Order: sequence, then structure tokens, then C-alpha cells
Amino acid sequence: MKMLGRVIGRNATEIVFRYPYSKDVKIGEILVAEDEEKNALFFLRVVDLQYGQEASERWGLRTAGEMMMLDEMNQPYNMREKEHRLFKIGVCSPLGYIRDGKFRRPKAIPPHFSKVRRASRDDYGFLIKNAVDIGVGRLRSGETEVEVEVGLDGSLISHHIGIFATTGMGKSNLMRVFAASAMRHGKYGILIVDPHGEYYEGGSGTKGLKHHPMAENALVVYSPHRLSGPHNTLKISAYEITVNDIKDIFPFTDAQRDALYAISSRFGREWLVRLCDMESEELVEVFGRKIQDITFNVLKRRAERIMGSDIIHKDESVAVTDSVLNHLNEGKVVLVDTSGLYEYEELLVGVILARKILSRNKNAYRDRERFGRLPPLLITMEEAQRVLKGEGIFSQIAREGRKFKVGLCAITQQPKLIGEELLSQFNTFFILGLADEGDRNIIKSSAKQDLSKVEKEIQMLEAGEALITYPGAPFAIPARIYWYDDYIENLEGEKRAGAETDDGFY
Amino acid sequence: MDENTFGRAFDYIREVIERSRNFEGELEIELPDGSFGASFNERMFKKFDGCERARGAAIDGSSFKILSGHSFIVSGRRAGYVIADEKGITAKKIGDVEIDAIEKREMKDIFAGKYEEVMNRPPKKFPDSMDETIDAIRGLEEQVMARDAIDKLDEGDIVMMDGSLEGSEFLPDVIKKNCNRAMDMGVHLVGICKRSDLYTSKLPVLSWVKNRGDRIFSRQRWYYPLSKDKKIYIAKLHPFSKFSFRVDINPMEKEAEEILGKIAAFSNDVPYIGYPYPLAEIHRNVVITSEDGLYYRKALREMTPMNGFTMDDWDDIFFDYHEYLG
Repeated sequence: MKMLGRVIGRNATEIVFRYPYSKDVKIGEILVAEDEEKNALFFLRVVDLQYGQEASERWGLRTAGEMMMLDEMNQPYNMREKEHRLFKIGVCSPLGYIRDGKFRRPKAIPPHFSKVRRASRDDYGFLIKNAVDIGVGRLRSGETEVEVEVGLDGSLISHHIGIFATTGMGKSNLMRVFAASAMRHGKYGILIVDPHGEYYEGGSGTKGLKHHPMAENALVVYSPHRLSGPHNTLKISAYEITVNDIKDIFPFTDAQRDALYAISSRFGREWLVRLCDMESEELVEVFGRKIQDITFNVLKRRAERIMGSDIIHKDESVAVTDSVLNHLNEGKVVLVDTSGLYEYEELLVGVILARKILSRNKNAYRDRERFGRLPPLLITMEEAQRVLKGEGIFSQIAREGRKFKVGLCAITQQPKLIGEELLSQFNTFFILGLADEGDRNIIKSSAKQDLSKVEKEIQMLEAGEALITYPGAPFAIPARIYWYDDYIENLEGEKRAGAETDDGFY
Repeated sequence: MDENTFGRAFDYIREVIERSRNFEGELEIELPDGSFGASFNERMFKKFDGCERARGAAIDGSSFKILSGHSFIVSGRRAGYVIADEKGITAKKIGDVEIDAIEKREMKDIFAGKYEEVMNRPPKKFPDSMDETIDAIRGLEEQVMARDAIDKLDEGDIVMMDGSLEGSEFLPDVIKKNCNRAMDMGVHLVGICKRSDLYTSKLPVLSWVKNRGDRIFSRQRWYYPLSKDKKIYIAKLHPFSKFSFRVDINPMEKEAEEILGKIAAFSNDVPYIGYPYPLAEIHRNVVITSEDGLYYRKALREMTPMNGFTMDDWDDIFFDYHEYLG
């Protein structure tokens, strides 16, 4: 590889190097400094770029002044010996170094005036060794893609995943690629609650999960509407809904909450149907006039709203939750299309499914053998800041889900609205472009890698570019996420190639 | 200090300013090695055209006092040259830094030794101080570089020395020898001064010429022949330059305008508009900075214990009570 520049100096947390005036280096590029004496390679991430000149600052001011004067006079001019007089300075964050084939944390610094060059694919051997069975993209160095697939080991999905990006930066493309990648293996159950109806069909000229060549076997879809492909009708029985489920969705006063628990205690699984069907006066009497009719009136209105939903049925046998759980345990991607539903309906579906998943896995935990056979599960929530605050089933999963192989994938454009304590439970971050400084700050303080030096890079991420952090990653990994349509096109190509090989064989 | 102290000083400055504005006539100008008569007359200004192409060498040197032991000093010197055309530098020769200790009693012998190496005969005049000796040796080394450059150039090329061709009273024969050699080779030899101390009877010569030249030939190249015999000119080398420079041309040359035109070909580099960029480049290459000086001082100091002496020995030699006073 061609030499780009030479290390100038500084310290263990910041290395600066000089490179020629005529060369371009981008923020986020990964470079290597060679220690030829000790046969080591130091990996450096470019975090800032500066101007350099072999003269005083005054010289620069004066030269600019002369240029401006000649510009104004429409006079031609040139600058000689630019390569000697002018140069650029790259400020880098040391990522670590390889010696004896092992990647180590940056506890040493490269020698004075080490040669700096761009990292080649071979230099990333240590990354290739890392297990990545859910590939989502390619390693990115600045704006350049490197032929190294990045993603994460599926065993990490129960340690929770955060996908953070402002609108248009590629959240749903990433999630589609993630699901598509998981569908190749069938080793992980992934539940996607899709409030925007963008995962199944795709949208705006892009493809959806239904176009995945393995969709027939690896994808199960539930929807309250008719879809263009095979799907199940989304139905939930009123008898499945608990007080805790609706407590996560509607605000209640202490008195109303007490009343709900009393009703649930009295009527058991029928509580919601009975609350809906009985008159307030009747309920007042049933509860020995200890609860006011005004309280029942409020609760009844909420209950009637729930029961009025098209996806809620009084028929105890009409429910899809068990079937959703079974598909997940078979390692399938389960897409629950909640588009067109009211927000409370969408949240209710998510809450019920999440509660049942955690509950079933908790029960299975007691039987080690059975639990061992369960695949890691991931529950994906869009606009996760709505449900990840205070208490509730999603917060509970964030805190204790990993023990029971239940992970949460929080997709949000406002991570600052998620409690810091909850966010710290998320071990894997996919950081796409984040414009808001408050969002970047909370991400920096919660990530499992030091992101303090990559603030500018996060700020400058373009659509489809990401930083991936997870425990065990050598550093925050820069990635370009596959474009979903290209990704499944490749899968189709692989499938066709496989079929042709088989035909020839037989 | 009372107001009269400032008043007396300013009266002098006032007179200098007024003369630089209004003077017209003849004056004798002092040089280190004699004087010459010069006319100060606006009609003598001439404009000239710059050449589009030129090739030449720029020569410069640098010296730095590293240590003073009061009766001796340790200094570093370096000289070199670059060869350039109107597009850029094509070759360079930069000498190593020479570090010497010079003692008062030995300085004449040292200068004589260096001079004889170049001229094969002793100098006619000797520097009076150690500092002057170092400067004279540096000047000698620059002339050696100039000779080397002359030999590498072709007919019609130009050698640009940093400083005046009349600048050193200790080296006139050396400079003359180079002027002869340059003429023989068809190479133009010039000296260009970044700073001019041409001065006579309260008239700052450069200021007088510059102000009038810019007024008469605004936004054009011009020159003023200060001495046609000695071929000393003051020239503005780029139409939009804020500066003009004293240019000494080999006194044996006949035509000045063509030579000034060639210098102008090098003088349109935007950081140094109006100054030949090869001279700026060679200056950058040979200069011994104060940081370099500190490094050499440190390196010498570190040799003291390695050679069986103590740091007290060192301090005793180089101690200066001024440092103690702060």
C-alpha cells in the first residue's frame, strides 16, 4: 500500500500525522501506522483534519491577503512549491494495534515518524476472525467500503440492540437487512412490530421482506388488513389482555389502577369483557360501593375503546399470540403489521406479545434442557422511546430479558428520551446519522465503546453509514449498511447458483 | 524621561520623513567599502517588462550563535542554493550545518584559513569581532556555493545572491572573482537585498525611491538606477507588489533591464509577490532557527558528563549574571 504520511506525535489518546497537500483523507477513515522495528500495526481512526504550512500563521494570513488583492485586480498568480510549503494534518484516535497476530487495546503508541497508510483488507484479518452471523453491511473507512462483512454475532441479540438515527438515515433499511440476514440462518426468532407497513411490501420503489427468496419458509406475517402475499389475520383475544398490559398504554390515577386490580382479581381472565359489559352502578354494587361510579365510568370508557378495536375479540379461542410465539421459537422472522391501527392498538399488540414472550421463556428457564433448545429472540419496537421509560414490560425486558434469551431492539430517532439507566442495558448500538447533540451525548455515555472521539464522525454520517458498537468489538466499527434491494438480489443470485449446481450434480 | 527627550528624538524623525518626501538632488551614499554619488531625480525612473521564462539559482546562508563563553563563541552555519525555473525548483544543494568554536585570539587565523582555501591567498582585511568573523565566513561559504551554482548553469541564466554584492568589506575580491567567472560563463550574477541600509544625510534612500516609483508607475514594474557605475538599482519586480528591493547587478554587465526582467519571472509567487521565490525557498532551507540552536546547545551540554566532566564545569564557563538577574 502507498504511504500516505508520517506520524508527527502527541499521545496515547491522540495521534497526529502529516500528509501531503494534494491528498485527501476523510473523517472516519481507518489508517494504519507501521512499526517496522517491532513488526506491529497501529490502527488509527481519523477524527479531525487540520491545515498545516511550513511557515508562521502570519505567512498564511498574508498569502491569503495577496490572493484576495490579486483576485480583486483580476490578476493571474500561482503558488509554487505547494507540496513543500503546504500540507495537511490528520488527527486520529488510536484504535489498537496488532502484534504477533493479536489485536490489542491502544496501550502503546507507534514510533516517531511512523509511516501512515490506508488499511488494506488483509490488515483487517482480526475483524474477519470475529464471528458475524448476522451480516448487515461492509466495513467502511471514511467513504470507502472495505471487503469485510460487518454485523454481529446472533448470540448478542438477547443483550438488546439500539438503532438510532434521524429520519431518512436508513433505520428501516437496516432493520430489513438485519431481518433478511437472520432469515438466512433460521437460528433466531425476530418479532417486528411494523406500525408504518414498510417491512412487508417495501415502499417508495424498494423491496420488502416478502421479496426475500426464503420468505416462504422463514417469514410469518400477521396483519389486520389484506396483504398482497400470504399472511395471517391479526387477532387478539380480550381474555389475553392483563391489567399490566393496558397500564403501559393508558395513563391511570392511583384510584383507577387500584380499581383495575380489584376488577382483575374478582373476574380473572374475563375482567376486561366484564368491565365492558357491566353497568357502572352494577360494578359499584359488586365491589361493595368501595369504588366510585366515576372511576368505573373512566375505566369502562377505556375498556370499551379496547374492545371496540377490530383486532380484539371476545372469543377466547380467536388469538394468534401462541402461534406468534411458536413461530419465533422455530427461528422465524414474525412480522406483525400494525399499520392503520390506532397507536394504542399498536402498542397493545406489542405489549401483549412482549409479555407473553418473556413469560413463556421465563417458564422455560426452569427446565434447562427445554430452555437450551430455545433460540435467542428479538422484539423490535419502532419509536421505542414511547415504551422505554419508567416501568412496563419493555423496561422489564431491557433489565432482565437477556437471562431469558429475550432481547429488545429499540429503534428510535430520539434516544435522549429513553432513560439512561435503560439505555445502558443495551449492549449493541447501530448508530446512524444523529443531528441532535443531546441524542449523541446520551449515546456516547451509554455505548460499550469509547465514542468520545467520534462525535464529528457521527455528525457527518450519511444515509446508510453507521457505527456499530458491541462488547467485544475491537472498536466502534464503521459500516456501510447493505442496500436491502441489493442484498436480496445477491441472495437470489446465491439461490440460483445453488440450484444450478444441484441440477448439474444430479 | 521628560518630554524633551522624546521631542529631540522625534525632531530627527520628522526631518527624515520630510526629506524622504521632498528631496531632489545629488547625495553621496555610504557603503561598507567606500561611497558613491547618487542623483535623486524623478525622471530617472523607468518601467520594464518581466520575462515569461527564466532559469537561475538562488544562494543564501544562515548563522546562529549557539553558545557564548565570552572569550569564545560556538556557532552554527549553513549555506546552500536551489536551481529553479519559472515553474518550480529543479535542483538543490544544501550544506550541512557547520559548528565551530571561535576564540578572540584565533579568529583572524580561522578566517584567513578559510579565505585561503577559496582564494589561495590571505585576505586583505580581517573582521574585528567574533560575530563579524562568523558572518564573514558565512559570506565566504555563500560565495563558494555561488561559484558552484554558476558552473551548473547555462548561458543567459541568473544567479541570485541573498544580499548586496557590495555588502562585505572582507570579501570584495571573492565577489569580484565570482563576477568574473559569471561573465565568462555568460551567467548573470545579482545580489538582492531583503533589507537595505543605504542611507545618507537623513535620507532613507529606499523609502524615497519606493514612494516616488509607486506614484509614477502605479501597478507597473519599475526600476531606479542608483548607481550606473556600480550597477546598484532599486526595483519593483511585480506590478502589484507592496515592496521594492535593492538589486546589485554584476558591475561588468552592460544591460540591466533584461536581467531585471529575468528576476521578475521568479517574482510572481503569491506568498512572496514581488520577491524572487527561489530566494524565499533557499532561505527556508538553510535557516538555522532558534529551535535548532537550542537543540545544538543541548546536544553539546549532554556531551559534558559523557566526557568525564560535571555540569558545574559547564555552568562555570557559560554562566552569565544577566540570566541570574532575570
